[in-house]
Amino acid sequence: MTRHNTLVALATLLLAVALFATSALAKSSSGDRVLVLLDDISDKNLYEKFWKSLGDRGFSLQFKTASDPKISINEYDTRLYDHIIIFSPKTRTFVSPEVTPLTLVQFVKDGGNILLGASASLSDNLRDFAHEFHIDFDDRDTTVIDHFAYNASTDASTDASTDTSTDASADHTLLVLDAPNLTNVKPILPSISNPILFRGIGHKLGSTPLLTRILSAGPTTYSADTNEEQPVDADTVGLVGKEIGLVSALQARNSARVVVVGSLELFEDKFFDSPVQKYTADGSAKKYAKSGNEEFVAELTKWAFQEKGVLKVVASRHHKEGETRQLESYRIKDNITYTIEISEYVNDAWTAFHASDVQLELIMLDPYIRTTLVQLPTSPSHRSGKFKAHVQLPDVYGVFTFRVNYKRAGYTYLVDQTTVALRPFRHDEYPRFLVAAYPYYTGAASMISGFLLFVVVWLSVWGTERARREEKREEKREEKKEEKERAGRSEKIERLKPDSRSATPTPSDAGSEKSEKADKKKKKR
Amino acid sequence: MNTLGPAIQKLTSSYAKDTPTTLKIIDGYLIYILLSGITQFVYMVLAGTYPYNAFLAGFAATVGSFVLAANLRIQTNIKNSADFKTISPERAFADFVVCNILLHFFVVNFIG
Repeated sequence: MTRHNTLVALATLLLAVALFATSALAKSSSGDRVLVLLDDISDKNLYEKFWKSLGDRGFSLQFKTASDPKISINEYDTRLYDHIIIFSPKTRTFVSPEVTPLTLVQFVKDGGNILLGASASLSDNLRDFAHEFHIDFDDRDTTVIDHFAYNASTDASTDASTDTSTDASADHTLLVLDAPNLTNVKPILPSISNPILFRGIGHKLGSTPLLTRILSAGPTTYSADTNEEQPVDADTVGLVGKEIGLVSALQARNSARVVVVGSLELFEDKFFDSPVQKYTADGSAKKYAKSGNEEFVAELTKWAFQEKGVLKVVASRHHKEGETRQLESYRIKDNITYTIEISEYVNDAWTAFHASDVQLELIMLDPYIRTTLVQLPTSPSHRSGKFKAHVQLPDVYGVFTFRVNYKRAGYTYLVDQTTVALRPFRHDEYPRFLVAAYPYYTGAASMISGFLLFVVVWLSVWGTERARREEKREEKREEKKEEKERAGRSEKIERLKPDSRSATPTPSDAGSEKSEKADKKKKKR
Repeated sequence: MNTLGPAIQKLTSSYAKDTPTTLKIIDGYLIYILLSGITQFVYMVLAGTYPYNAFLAGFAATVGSFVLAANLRIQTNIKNSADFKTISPERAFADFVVCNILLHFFVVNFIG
């Protein structure tokens, strides 16, 4: 009986361990090769818990020191690592020629993610590297100090390991940061329950929209040189108040992520385990046994190494209402449906993405239509979220682009576009047979029928008239002929007439000339 | 002014007497086209130009038919035969028919 019990207990224990292990596992969507750069190999021991948590999440870590001459990031134009952790703030130059600010920037351009840990002794080399991402660290040896938000819990383990500081509580460089200082961009960080301990250098952010403040200082913080006397004046203080960035991130245009943390000690085991109590004048602040650093680092690195907040477009298609085929050209004022499917990478698997602000734009140099897509309900096991929009295409013809341009803080940038041609109406697609145009239709029809009637009538009339004219002409010709004949005949008659004319003298003798003429005629004959 | 009445009378009587019947038929056809064109234009002024292509097609049908009929009248008038030595009345009529067919084809296409 007891053996059976122990077997069952063992089995449940193994199952629990297995489940726990898988829940802690969240493999990165972009690869698991990590390069860790350290100042000195002995620094590795300070962050044992951090390496372990990364290892549990499936990353394979390669530790190299700055003095290693054989560090190589790129080989044959492909990255050798997917992520780089730079925990070597003091290194002025890396011995390997392949690790320079420019090669690290190229690494980001190739899609790699970088986590940079800084401290007050940050070298100019890495300062230049951060400057590429519009992050300006404060001068060397400056620290962020806050006389109202420091850790009052006097635990000797969190005393500054450097030999310059003597009294932790008088130093006020160990800041306690909680919810108001944290970003509210949910894809990057959920709410952290315990306050966070920070000791290090502050930075200023540029104005590029690619930057996100993850942890910023409170209004009573300032950044000053701790080597000097504590009282400071306005011209020695570089950064003041909420503009001091403590942890910031930049998501590049290819969605590679660079996270810059101003405190390397934030990752140390002793900070993970330290108790936290924020200073108040009467000592009434809540005391936490453990800081929120471990949780903060876990969530931050999950975002930095593309384990969460990662989106991808699975498919997009468009078709006319009532059809299913995707055409390359539509007609103006057609009704079409546009569907897009977007997945989110959650817990090591692609699942449906839920959002209410995905928009579709129809662009020809300028957007003509911008409409929000509606999320369709899909079964829980479906791997992507479906978004749909019904659009009536604009009244302008040309070549349009259907574009979904989804850029939100903390999420991968999505741009999905297709090009489509819009043709104008064919001449039989205009509105036809309008009642308003009936007079014109009847007018044109009357012209046609009038023309046909006219042709029939005119031909018949013209034919008869022509015939009559011909007859008249014939008659005239006949008359002329007759006249000619008559004239000819009368001449003949005249010629043929006998002498009777010459014998009898006519009473109307004009004179002897006529008789002489007659005599001459006679003689001639 | 008092000579207008007798002048018109003389015009109408000499028209009725001297004009050949064929030309009178063409004149009647021209008046019919004119009325149709005026009607369409007045309708457009009252009701607006909405299907503009329909108005243009209908009106152009009347104008085109008028022009072609007037040309036929000129070319078949016997008194003008000296000006048209190369164009016989038969040729004029054939031109008239072909042009009218083309005109009505375009009108029907454009009227929408």
